[in-house]
Amino acid sequence: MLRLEQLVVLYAGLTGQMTANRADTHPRRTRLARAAVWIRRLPLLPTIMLAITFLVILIGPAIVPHDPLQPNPANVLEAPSRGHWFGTNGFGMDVFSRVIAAARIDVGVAVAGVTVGAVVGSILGATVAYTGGWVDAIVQKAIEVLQSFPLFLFALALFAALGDNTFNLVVVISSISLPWYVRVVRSVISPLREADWVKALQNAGASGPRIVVLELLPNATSQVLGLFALSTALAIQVIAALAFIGLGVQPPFPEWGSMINTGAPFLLQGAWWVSTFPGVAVVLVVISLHSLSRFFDAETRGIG
Amino acid sequence: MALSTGPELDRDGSTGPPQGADEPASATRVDVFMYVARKLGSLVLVSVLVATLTFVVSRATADPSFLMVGQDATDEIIAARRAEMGLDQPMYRQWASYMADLVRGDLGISRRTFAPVGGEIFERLPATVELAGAALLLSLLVAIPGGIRAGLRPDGWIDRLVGSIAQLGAAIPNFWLGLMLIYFGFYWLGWFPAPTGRGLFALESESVTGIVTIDAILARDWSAARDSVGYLLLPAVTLASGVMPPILNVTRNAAVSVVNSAYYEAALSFGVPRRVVQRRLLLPNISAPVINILAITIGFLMGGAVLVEVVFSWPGLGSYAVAAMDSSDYNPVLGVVLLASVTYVLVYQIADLVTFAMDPRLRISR
Repeated sequence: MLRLEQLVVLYAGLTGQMTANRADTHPRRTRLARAAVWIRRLPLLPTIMLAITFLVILIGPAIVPHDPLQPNPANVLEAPSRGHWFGTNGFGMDVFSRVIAAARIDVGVAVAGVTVGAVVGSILGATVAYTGGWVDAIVQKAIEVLQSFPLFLFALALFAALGDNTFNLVVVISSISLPWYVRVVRSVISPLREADWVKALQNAGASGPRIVVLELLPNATSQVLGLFALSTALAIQVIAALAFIGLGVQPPFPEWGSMINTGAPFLLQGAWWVSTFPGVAVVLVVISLHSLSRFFDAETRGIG
Repeated sequence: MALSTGPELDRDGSTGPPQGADEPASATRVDVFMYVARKLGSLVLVSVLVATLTFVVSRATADPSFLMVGQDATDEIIAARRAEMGLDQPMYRQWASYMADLVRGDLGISRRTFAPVGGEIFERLPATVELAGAALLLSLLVAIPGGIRAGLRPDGWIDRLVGSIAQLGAAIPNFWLGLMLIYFGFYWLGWFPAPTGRGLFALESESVTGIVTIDAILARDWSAARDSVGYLLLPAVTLASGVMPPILNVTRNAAVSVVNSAYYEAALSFGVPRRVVQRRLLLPNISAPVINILAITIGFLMGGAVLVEVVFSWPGLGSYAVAAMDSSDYNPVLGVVLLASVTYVLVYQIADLVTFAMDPRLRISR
């Protein structure tokens, strides 16, 4: 790996084409240094919020004060109090414990689905950008068709075709997010196809897949990271929305959207806490992911 | 939709050499024709592909013949039923007849109500159009002036205020916001009617447009108009909170790039009044991206109102699709999906044409 990179550097140096991205003799150290700069400049509040979310996903179910699935007919629809911080729902289940326990399924499914979409989409996008020609044209048309479906209705139609279960929820989320990655990665990498260092790699005998995955794809890192934060946020909203109308994760399993749905009738009896708190959880996580994504966008523009 | 601003403006043909003044004009006409033709071709192609995808989905759902015969149907009955529904034909034949049905406006039969889906969609369309129109109006009233003000002074207090509202609007799930507004507006304050759909019963005169608010105003039935606006306001605000942020961001960013441009600064330094510069330079130059995002928004609103409609029991297309989905009745779902996507593609292409008509640079560069 190192030898090939050195060759490229040599070639680039000879032709005077020092490209900012690739012409460093210590790519590994640069990458680490750049990562360190990123970490130091991460926006504080969203990062803390996301760290808490992550912690909650890891150990949340172990530390919740009540069993999130334990109904208690004795204290149904109890207002928030010292015993039940967020009150209890229509079955007497503790809302706080349920909001905490739901983070695992909501964020978990979102991250799983978006990861699949991101990996497949990025590789596909980089490949068609590198290949060009009619393959590129066909994939672009396909993306255009996929994106002309309204997001939520597209999810509904997919559920209609595949059936309604949690695995298919992951499939739905990954197929929603895939087109974005193809589009973004393609737009970043397309202009690089004719770059001298790519030609140098080809002349040095690097294989196509190697150029695409190891050499071209890293150029889109910050765009992909930004998109990852953004699409995870959107995926969480879609999962909650689907659960709200009874698709995907089913009650009584704790999930933010279905909790909002089961609390809706009680709003008109004045029991606001059942629906309110899961919604606040969604808003906090999504807002943190949005500002993280904006941070990566700004980085992209800053580095150029 | 990269909008290049600045130097290209000078290439506008108005100051060009006088010779051959009619030759470029005729060439332009052919170009325009080609452009429109290509747009139409793309529109048809994408629509056909979209319909093909819904066709694939409709065949991927469970074989409808099983659901239409009784439990103790013999193989012969099922086979007869399949033949009757055309399901024993080869796939390309089924696809062709599906397309032919679509061209005739036949979207199949709802298994729940046994009525043609096309007719049911047509009945519910005005409700969705009313809600979407109101939401679009509300978000434009906030997003365009707000975006321009914010863009004129980036990082000023208006920019920060409007920016945070947009951030919040984009993060709040709108079905949850709808519930919260119902809690405060109906249960707590009692200012708004219960979330039971539109104020249809209030209107005594005959419906003209199918859009209750406009009908009431046309009939000068002011109490009905007030009622229907009361029903409309909360769902419209809810829906607007979701679609406003992108419009605002695009407007703001376009305004920022104009304000930072050399030609804008030059015009100001020549002493052209700020108001004139803003009207003659700012507005035309932000119009293309704004029209583009408007097209996306309208396309989104046709199908994006699903959850808001469910929350407010609004009798439009979204609640129709969800109700059908609940009883595994997929023809209405696919019908709504198809209508929404084709509308999106259509609106998007129209927006491209409008941009093309408005921006002389696009014609010159071709």
